Amino acid sequence: MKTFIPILSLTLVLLLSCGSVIAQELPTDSIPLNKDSLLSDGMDQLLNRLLLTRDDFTFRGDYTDKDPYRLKIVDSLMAQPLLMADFADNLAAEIQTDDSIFNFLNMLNSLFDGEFKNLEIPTEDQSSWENKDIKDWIVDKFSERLDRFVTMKMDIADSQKEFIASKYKELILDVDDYRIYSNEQLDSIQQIEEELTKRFASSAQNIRTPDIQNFIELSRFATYSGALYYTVECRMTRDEATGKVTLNPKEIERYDTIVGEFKIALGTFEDDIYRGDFALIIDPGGNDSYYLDYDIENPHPTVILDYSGDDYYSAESDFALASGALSYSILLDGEGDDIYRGKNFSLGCGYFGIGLLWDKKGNDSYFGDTFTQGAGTFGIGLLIDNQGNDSYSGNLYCQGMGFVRGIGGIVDHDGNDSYIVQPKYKEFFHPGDHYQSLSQGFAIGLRPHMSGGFGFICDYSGNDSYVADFFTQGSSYWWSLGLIYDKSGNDLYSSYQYAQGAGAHMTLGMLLDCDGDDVYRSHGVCQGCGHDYSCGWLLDRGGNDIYSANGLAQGAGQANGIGLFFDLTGNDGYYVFTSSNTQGYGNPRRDYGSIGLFLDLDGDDRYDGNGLNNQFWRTNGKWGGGLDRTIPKPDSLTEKGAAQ
Amino acid sequence: MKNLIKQLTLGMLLLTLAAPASSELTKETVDSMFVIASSGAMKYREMVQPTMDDMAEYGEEIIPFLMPQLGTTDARERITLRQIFQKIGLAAVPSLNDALMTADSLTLSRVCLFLFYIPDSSSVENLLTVTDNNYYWVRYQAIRALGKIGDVRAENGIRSLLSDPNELVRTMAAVSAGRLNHPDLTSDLIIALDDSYYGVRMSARDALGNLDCDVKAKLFSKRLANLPSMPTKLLLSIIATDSCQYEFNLIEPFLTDTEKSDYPVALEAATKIDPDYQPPK
Repeated sequence: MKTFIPILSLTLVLLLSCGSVIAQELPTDSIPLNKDSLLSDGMDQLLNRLLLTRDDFTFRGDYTDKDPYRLKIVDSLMAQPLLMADFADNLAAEIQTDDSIFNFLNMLNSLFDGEFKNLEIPTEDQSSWENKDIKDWIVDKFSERLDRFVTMKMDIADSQKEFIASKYKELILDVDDYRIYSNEQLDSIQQIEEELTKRFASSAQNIRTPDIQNFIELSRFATYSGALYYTVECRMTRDEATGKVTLNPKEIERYDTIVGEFKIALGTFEDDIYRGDFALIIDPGGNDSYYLDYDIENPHPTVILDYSGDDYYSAESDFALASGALSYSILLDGEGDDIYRGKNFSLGCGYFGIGLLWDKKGNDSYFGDTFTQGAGTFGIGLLIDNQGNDSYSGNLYCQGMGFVRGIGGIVDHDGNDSYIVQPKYKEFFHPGDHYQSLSQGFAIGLRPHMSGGFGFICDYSGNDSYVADFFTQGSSYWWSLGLIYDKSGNDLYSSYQYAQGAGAHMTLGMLLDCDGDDVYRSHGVCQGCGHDYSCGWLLDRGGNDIYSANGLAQGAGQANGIGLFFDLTGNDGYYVFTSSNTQGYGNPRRDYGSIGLFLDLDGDDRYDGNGLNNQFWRTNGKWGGGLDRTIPKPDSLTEKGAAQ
Repeated sequence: MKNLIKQLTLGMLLLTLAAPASSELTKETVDSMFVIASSGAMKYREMVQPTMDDMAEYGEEIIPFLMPQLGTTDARERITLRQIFQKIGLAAVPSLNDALMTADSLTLSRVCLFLFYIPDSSSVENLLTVTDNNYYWVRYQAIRALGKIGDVRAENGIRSLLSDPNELVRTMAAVSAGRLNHPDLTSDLIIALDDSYYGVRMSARDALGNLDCDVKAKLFSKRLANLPSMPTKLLLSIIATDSCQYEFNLIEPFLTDTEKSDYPVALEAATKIDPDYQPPK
């Protein structure tokens, strides 16, 4: 294969030259569809035509003064943005199996400062409790660890803790209904937020060192909770004839107790109801209802392990339901069609801590408002769903969102899923009726004081739909990284602006879709657009896809940014409203230029815009262009004929 | 808290309205006007431009009050300052020239930026003194302003910064070399064609492309045959795109080997020189 590529390149280069300068017809040739080599070869071919090299794809880390909140991974990928695809592939591979979830958590930890600290998953000595009542054992075992659980909160000064519990929270939350506020009131709110940002930026630096140490400890407890789940699961036996599950050595009864100052409950196989602020709930089965709250003024870990049943989880306050707020929280649901109704800061939220919601089976529905469904700041928030057709609905900062020094992600392994960001929070600075999403594989910092985090969605299979408005779907703002990785299925991506592989202001965004016949619809600064020393990249590896956009899209570099649009295989359709700044466009700015690349490496494609099937083209501006190739499929008659 | 802010902003508004009529500027007045001129607030939306215009009308009188603001990290404030200084025009230059000798690095970079927008030969000497500043944005903006001024005294500064360790500074040096359009910088620009950063290479290419046709023709005949791959391709791309007439024999050596990476651009150049040219089969 290696020897084949240079020959191919040579042939293509030779034949490339048979057209006009602006758009040149390409040759046809046949190669096996190895997508890696296809991309590598096609990209180098385009770069050679545009007089660029792979080394040109680099950004500095010091366009602005470097603040201490910058994630190591952001700095690394800014220096080599082409490695974003490898990073996405590795990230997705890391969490392919259940067993690796806690390793994955460790890996995410390493993204903060680049140091991977491998945590061993603790194992329980089964013999120590073989003859014990489950209730006694759990309380005993948990009590042993409760002191440590209680101390597992962020090592932060009281004054800062107070700020985090109230003001920093206000900084993230938006006004509920803009229509009831006057312009003056809205301006005042904005001014206050700017002041809070400055204040927090100046004081938060003290949090940095201890928070990293605590992440490690919190992760250790996350691994312990996982071990606890499996330990209890080992004592369950299922009667194959009746399907009934029992817990050895005997059936349990509902048990509620208080250890120290924290509530613990052991449920039954009946439909249990839980109300209040719990440190631990273990429920073996039944259709249960949870109405839970959490007092951030009194932070503590929460562990909820529910093994089966169609359950209803309702957050009665902010920071409830898998919200690691100044601590660590895990909610592990084994099976059943569940409904999760979160408020703000819920459902896999890491807010100065680690929050993990892990649902293993069933068609589930997730609802929340702000900072929910895999959102993190000064921590990690993860929502993992293994099976079923799931629906995710939120309003702002949700569905894989990384805020300052935070990582937030959704990992969905299976099913036809729907990710929707509801139009609730108005986008004031844009004419027309549009809404902020700041969600779906999105990350953001607090400009100019604090770099942002890493937000991602990893969806492995199913026909999924992603619907949002402004700032969404593999995009980011201000020294951050936003990513959507969708491995298979016929997917729909719908958004308005700053979306679908986009970055604005020294940042990185990528949408990587590996397979399926997908539909991409957006307006501007989208579909592979990097603005202001940023890289936005849309990479679709397969399927017959349709792309539509208005402007600054499909491989557009703006203000010294880099925009990459690569579609590797399939018969695709491309539609743009403004051809002057799309499909391989580099914007002249600051007396030089930007880079915009458009690549379609196979298939019979249709264009409305600059592109042409089986052509190379160069666009006006500095510096961009595109390449479309068609590779005929091998023909047995031709080959046989050649052999004869 | 919200009421307090409302009262404060109302006070600022009143001060602002009174400002144009006042013969003596005060820090408070200027600060109040600046808040509005650089505001993203919805209530000031209609007042931003008029206030900016009012401030510019004060001319050099207002500059001492604005200088302390130059170190702002706020993008909106930075743009507002630039627009005010630009509107004041040449009257702002002496103060900016003085600031080049005294200011801190961040402020210096802003002063250089503003001098880019108000190019004046009186700034050349002072700008040259900051081209070795440790902060790369100062070097970047200084050489950019020097290029815009287009004074031949900048030649050595440009030459020096074409080999700056920072790629953005090198890029701006190449851009400025193009603006200076001085044949003595040709050799330096040829070296820049092999830079590792696209901004430098492309800007050097554009700079060389700006040279007179006869200068380019001589340059190509002398250098084209013995350059590394990337500079060769970039020079060929000039032939392929500019309006000068070149001899076909300049590019003939690059049309023999279709495997070489410079072949496609050589073919573009050939087609440009001779639209009827057909590559051998």
